[in-house]
Amino acid sequence: MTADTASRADQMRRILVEVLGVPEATAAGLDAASPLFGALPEIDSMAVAGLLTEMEDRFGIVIDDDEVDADLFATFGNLVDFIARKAAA
Amino acid sequence: MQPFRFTLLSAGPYDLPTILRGPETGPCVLFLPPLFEEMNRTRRLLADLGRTLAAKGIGSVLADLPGTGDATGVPDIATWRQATAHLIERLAGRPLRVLTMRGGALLTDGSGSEGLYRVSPVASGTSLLREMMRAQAIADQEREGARVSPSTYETRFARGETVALTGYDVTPGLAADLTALTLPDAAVPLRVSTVEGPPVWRQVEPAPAPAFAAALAEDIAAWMQ
Repeated sequence: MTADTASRADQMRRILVEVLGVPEATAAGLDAASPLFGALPEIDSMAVAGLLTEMEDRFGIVIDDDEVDADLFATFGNLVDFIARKAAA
Repeated sequence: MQPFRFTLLSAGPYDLPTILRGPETGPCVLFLPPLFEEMNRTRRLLADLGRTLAAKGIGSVLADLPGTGDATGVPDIATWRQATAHLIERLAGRPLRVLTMRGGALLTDGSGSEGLYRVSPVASGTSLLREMMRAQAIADQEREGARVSPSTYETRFARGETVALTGYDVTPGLAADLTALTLPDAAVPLRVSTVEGPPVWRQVEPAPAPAFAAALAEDIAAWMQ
């Protein structure tokens, strides 16, 4: 894991805590393989819109709605990889 | 001290249900909350902020703009801007600052006040409209089980239809006005808040954030010195 990836993962944990109210301890325990959608009750369709917009603001990226599907939220690793790809683009 | 006072404040042609906190004279902050659903989500934060400012001897005013909260009327950008200007004029007998949160920043350049304090200002009405369409698309998708693109709503606006977005009836006119709305350059001394806190305006079920409110009050009080 590079320094960039680690800091993105930490920022993403922060967002999950602040926007969705995921408990700090749960967020701290997330690794790349941790499932999100279906596993964290805080992540539902209502919450996703705010989450995406907060990700755009914090990471300075623009997320196209076509890029948003269940896969994106399947695991914590998917989400962090997605941000890395967007930030590099 | 009373926790708050409720009044109908006349602002030009509008009578606006208003919550006043803190002393009735001396320094005062007019709160301009976020727009649409974000307004509801920040209600508690602004109440906590008003209480904390009151404890520091600073008054605050939170009015429902026409067509929001308990105020009569329909949501309309020009009306909101006009009502805001009237509110500032009405309150300017006191040393007055304006605090805007999120979309509230789009409604005034602070003219007539002694300073403008912006919390997480949105860059434009377009970004606000986009967020509402995105949230609605995700909700529609969930209900219909099929993919819904936010551009669907743009098509409906173009056909002249009013679209319910996150519980608000957005007319094609309101959508066009929002799209044309950009963050105004401040006409008075401006401070953009750097106080860190959870973005309660994005929370579906906002959690109380008393520490955020206290830190904001601290920063505002210092700025007003």
